Amino acid sequence: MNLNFPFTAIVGQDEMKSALIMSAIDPTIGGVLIFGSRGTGKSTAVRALAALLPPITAIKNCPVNSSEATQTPNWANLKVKRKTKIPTPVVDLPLGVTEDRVTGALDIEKALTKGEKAFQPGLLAKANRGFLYIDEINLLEDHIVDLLLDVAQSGENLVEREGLSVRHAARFVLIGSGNPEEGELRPQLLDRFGLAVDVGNPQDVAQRIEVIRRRDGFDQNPQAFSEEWQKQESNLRGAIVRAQHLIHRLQVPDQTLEDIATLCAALGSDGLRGELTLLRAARAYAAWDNKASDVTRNHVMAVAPMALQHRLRRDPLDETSGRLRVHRVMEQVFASSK
Amino acid sequence: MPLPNEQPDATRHACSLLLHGADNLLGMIIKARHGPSLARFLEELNHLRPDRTVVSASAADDVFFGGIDVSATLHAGHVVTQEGVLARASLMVVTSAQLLDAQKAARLVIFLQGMDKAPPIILIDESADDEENIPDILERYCAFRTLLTEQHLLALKIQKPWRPQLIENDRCLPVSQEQLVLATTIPIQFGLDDPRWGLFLLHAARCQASLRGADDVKLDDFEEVASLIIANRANKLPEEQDTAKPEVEDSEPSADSKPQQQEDLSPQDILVDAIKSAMPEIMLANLQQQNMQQSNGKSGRGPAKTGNRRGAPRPPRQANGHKDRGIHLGKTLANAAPWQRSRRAAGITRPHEGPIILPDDLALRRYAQESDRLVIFGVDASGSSAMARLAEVKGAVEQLLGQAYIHRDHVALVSFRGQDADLLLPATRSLVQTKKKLAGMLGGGGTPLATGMAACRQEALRARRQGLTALVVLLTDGRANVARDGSANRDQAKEDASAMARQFRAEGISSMVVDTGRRASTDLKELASMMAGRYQILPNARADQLSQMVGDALRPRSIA
Repeated sequence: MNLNFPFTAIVGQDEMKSALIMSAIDPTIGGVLIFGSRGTGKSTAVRALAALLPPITAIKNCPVNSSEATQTPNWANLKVKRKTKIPTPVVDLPLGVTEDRVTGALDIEKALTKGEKAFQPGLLAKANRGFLYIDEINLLEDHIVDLLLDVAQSGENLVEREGLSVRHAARFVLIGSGNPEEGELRPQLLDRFGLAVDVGNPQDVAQRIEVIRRRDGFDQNPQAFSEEWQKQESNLRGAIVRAQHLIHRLQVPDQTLEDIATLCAALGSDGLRGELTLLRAARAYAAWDNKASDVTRNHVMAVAPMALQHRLRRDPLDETSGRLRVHRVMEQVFASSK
Repeated sequence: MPLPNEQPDATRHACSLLLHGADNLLGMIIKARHGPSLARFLEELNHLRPDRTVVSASAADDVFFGGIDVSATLHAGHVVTQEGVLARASLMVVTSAQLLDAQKAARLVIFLQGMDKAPPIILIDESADDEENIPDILERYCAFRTLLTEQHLLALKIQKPWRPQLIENDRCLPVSQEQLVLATTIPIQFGLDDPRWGLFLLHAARCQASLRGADDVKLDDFEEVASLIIANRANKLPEEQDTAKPEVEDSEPSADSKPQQQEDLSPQDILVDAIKSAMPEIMLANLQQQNMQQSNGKSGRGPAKTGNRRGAPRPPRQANGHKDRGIHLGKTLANAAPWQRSRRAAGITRPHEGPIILPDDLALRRYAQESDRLVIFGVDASGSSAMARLAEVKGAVEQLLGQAYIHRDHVALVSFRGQDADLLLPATRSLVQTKKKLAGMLGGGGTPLATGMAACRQEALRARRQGLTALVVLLTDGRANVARDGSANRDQAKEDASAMARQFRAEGISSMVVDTGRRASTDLKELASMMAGRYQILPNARADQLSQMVGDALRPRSIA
């Protein structure tokens, strides 16, 4: 098997890393969009995350990785329903993928040879309870992107085609990455993602040297390099698991809710989606913080840029980055209320 | 004096390194027109590695990636898949690689990255100058980029055959801190920001060292390989004065690591010189000019052409041979149904109970496709268009850009002034890039209207070849005073412009003329009618009207 570059060995790119960690802690945040030029470790980070995540309990051979025997879909025809540990699914969605392959379709082989109408699950089934990763999302065909976002939103894949009528759970964290220089993502898709981060190459030479040194060390001997980082990896994994438990015990004071509402209103972000995401992200961040018992303004401020920057009403020709605008508004809003 | 990197040797050298250290170097791009040089190289490669697989970039997707073998499936009665060449190849050679579109290229790279042991890939870029490019994602997958030109036919004849020793490369040679710094900083100096290039440089130097059987990597090794990676990709030249050390001298000034190079040339300088001397002359000249203007590192290319395989499903159609598209099952079965009895009677058998389906029955899914649209802005930046007006024109173009953005149109930008026209931006969907280019556009000089039109026409024709619907929007005040040959002859200039206009009409290029003059110009109106295009005067035009017009002009899809 191909070894992945360890997540903890990625130099810098803290915002991207924490966005990914947040979404691993609380999948309902709604996915991460990573935009940046090539060579910034986008794909590396996502693939590394897969190796990092704790295993989940699922019914053996269940096509949608159900956690309980009662949830396995009928069409799977599972005789034995035994629980087992499987790695968190991380499914790669290749660019040239067809709609059949994504949603699942009539099993042609069975239809032709046995005259049976059977459902062959697609990638959405495979990604249930895990992550779905699309590299170069801005090059993916529009109708597939639409379909994915619909499913990601509803948590359910509904197949009505070729005489089939099948529905199954499809709850996954959507992670998209792309390079804006090669074409932008349609604006209506942007705010469907929970978090958005921009990544760039480190400008600091010492940091760049470290990037190359580590990557080179990995390329030369992946095995040894991974072992070297084993400890950091398991520490991080432990921290994520702790945060996943902790998150349910956190209080959200009214003051924090008010902060969130004020901030979103001041930024004029569309709809309630921004507020909800900001709340969830702040909560995940507080859980990650480990010492906090409440979700505070500091937590909100830490995640606001990545939760809101892609939701602002945007003049396509205005070049100020969303990030900057969020920061500015945050300063204004919170300076006056203090 | 032949340039080192244009010699066939650079290509062969790079290829030897690639075959030696394929795990880390991954691939190479050879820019070469079809001709004896290329033929000879491929022949030699064939000799060296008879196991190589050659595929044209235009081959169907399932040739590359594998898929369902339709006829075998029909015969066997169960799904028979076939592997693509990528999965089987031990060395891939892709010819006409410039024809790969961004999507296929991305698929290719993702596929290769997902393999346990990806085959080294050699991409032959057979494009004419800058006409088409290898998609960026592939460019960055490959360690080397070299040129193979036809200028050395004679050299080709006397050149010794290429028979490198291919040995197993299993050693991991250590590199020093100084070399690490070198590998990191050299690509940056040439405007290559991606850390990948530094890594490739390290790997290649290691390969070079192990090829010569050494146990340690020397500066010479870097010198030998640096140009293969960087020379044909550089975005800028290092600034002369401060090739000095960057601020990372904190580790140690290295007492022992630079004994050989005493003649006060730093390793940095040596590498920079090696790379520079390997650059093609034209490139060097261009970059020098750019450095003089401003050392503003330009962003990479971004030809964003997405395939046209989307849209609402249309009625299925009979399949002729199998293609990348899906099979429409219902229609296929319906096609087969009436013949079942007669087929059985005719003694056609299948190992299963199901219906007998012959390849003729297959129906493919089809999708209604709207061609992507391309708006080409031809902007007159001449002195007569005047500074003040230029700002207004830019404003108008920006408005139209906003419109294009909403419709997901592609845009291209041509400016003309003085004696020639520049394609500032080839077709792209990236608004950021367009805006940057527009803002940096300079004004002044004569009005080479015909030359500008010619540049727009060329872009329109290229777009048409790629299956885009193109519209040329010409923004000018119409006072043509520079002829196509560059002479300042007003009558000739006008005559040339008219000739161009007739050509637009003859070739069916949709067009529209926006008069940026203070008063409506009858000349321009005439020109517009000669081009069979619309005419609009800017001072009266509100931006929304303009974009309305652009929309209208695109809708009829008179070409396609």
